[in-house]
Amino acid sequence: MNATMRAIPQADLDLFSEASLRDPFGDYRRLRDLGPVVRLRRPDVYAIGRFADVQTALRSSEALISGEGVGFSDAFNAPKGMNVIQSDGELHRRLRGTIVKPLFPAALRDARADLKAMIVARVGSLVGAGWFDAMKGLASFLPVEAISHLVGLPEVGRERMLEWAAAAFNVIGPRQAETDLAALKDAFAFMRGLNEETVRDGSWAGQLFAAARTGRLSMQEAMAAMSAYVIPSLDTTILAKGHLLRNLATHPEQWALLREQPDRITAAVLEGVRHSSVLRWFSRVAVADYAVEDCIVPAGQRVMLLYGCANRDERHYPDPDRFDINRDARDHLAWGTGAHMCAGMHLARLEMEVLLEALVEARVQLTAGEPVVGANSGLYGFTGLPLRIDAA
Amino acid sequence: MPVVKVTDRQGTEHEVDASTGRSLMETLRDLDYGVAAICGGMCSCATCHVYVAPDWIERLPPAQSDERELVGELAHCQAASRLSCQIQVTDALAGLRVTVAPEE
Repeated sequence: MNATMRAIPQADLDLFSEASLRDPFGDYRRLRDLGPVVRLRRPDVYAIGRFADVQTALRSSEALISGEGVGFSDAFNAPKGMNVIQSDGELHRRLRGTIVKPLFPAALRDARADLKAMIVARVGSLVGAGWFDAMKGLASFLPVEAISHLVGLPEVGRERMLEWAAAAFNVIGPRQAETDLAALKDAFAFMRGLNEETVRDGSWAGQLFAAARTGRLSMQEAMAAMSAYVIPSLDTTILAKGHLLRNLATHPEQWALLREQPDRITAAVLEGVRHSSVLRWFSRVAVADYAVEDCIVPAGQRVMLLYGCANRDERHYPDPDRFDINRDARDHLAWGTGAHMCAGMHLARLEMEVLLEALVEARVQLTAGEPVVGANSGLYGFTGLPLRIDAA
Repeated sequence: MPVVKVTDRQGTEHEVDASTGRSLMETLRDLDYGVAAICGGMCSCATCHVYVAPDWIERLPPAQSDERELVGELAHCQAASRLSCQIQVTDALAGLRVTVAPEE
């Protein structure tokens, strides 16, 4: 070891214990304070949790590759190099270039008015209706009623998308439940069985088959890209909306400010995903020795990049545990950064913006009860959130 | 350092020292004229969108296919659209004029 290089601290944190999954922020702080990179025992990986180092790592997609898998399990990492998030270089560019088309602002412009009208009606029906579960009644409304139609799967697949998403993000972790493995197997069998006739014409899935027909992608690549629509498009935004609703309901002064200054809705959405990031982490493999400040991760080792931890880094955001819609959180890492940055981020933002617009326009006050926090290995979010929406 | 002229979203033109060896995006991001560049210059997010002045379009190295495709998906795409993260600043860019595109 070079004399100027520092030994990498080791830690016995179990980020996948149920207690840590339900409330990870104490462990996140310990991890950040231990050093720029920390060797964990379970699983045996190099964890990076400080903002600047996670940001740099995510932008170093040639040194830290995705093609060896971005989870911790063979079950998830197996389709090496054959889906969007687990590919590198030219193949990744080609797959991503095709899947982002319906998810970028030009394509979403027409959908915005429809989504807004739907959520306005939904909010209207909930005002004064007493306590309800905001995860089922409000956060999942647009994903289930609208986004799943845009994806374009036949009915049987549409109904299972939420189950498959939860299973897939659980399976990325070091320990897998049989039920999740079985659900993921079903998901891949279902996706393999899709063809141009079974998906909705003009839908996102439909345009992948169209790309295969015109030779832009091979059929194998189109099928591989399908999981990018089927797995992450519903659950992630549902959970993000749950956090946003709770944060606004439990910070009445922030909610009052937002009602007075609705031009801060964009900022509130970004602060929401910074403060309570849904995606916990993904991993990469170092193709050569990789320096994190004065520590070296040896070639061939797997690094864990912790997004939600980086977004609470006091070295980057003052008073990071505070939810503050006046904060400039545009550089948050909840959607990652670099070549693999969330392809659906514009849609996620749009869904959350129209939700907040609808609530602001409804002139309501929000009251939240204690949420039920889930223990999914990949996603931080609520499985239940009692909420009341009352006329202000 | 070549001087470039940047029109911000309020329509004000600024003369700016652009550093060579970096992308134009990095200069614009530092100035806080609305270029967020949230992906950090990897041609992934399209939040560094600018319009290049007509007399400069042909003088810049042409966009690669991934940049052209991404720009085409923007609501405010025009013929003069470029992603500033894909424009490397050289001395030959002295006098370049760009306008920061509206937020998507």
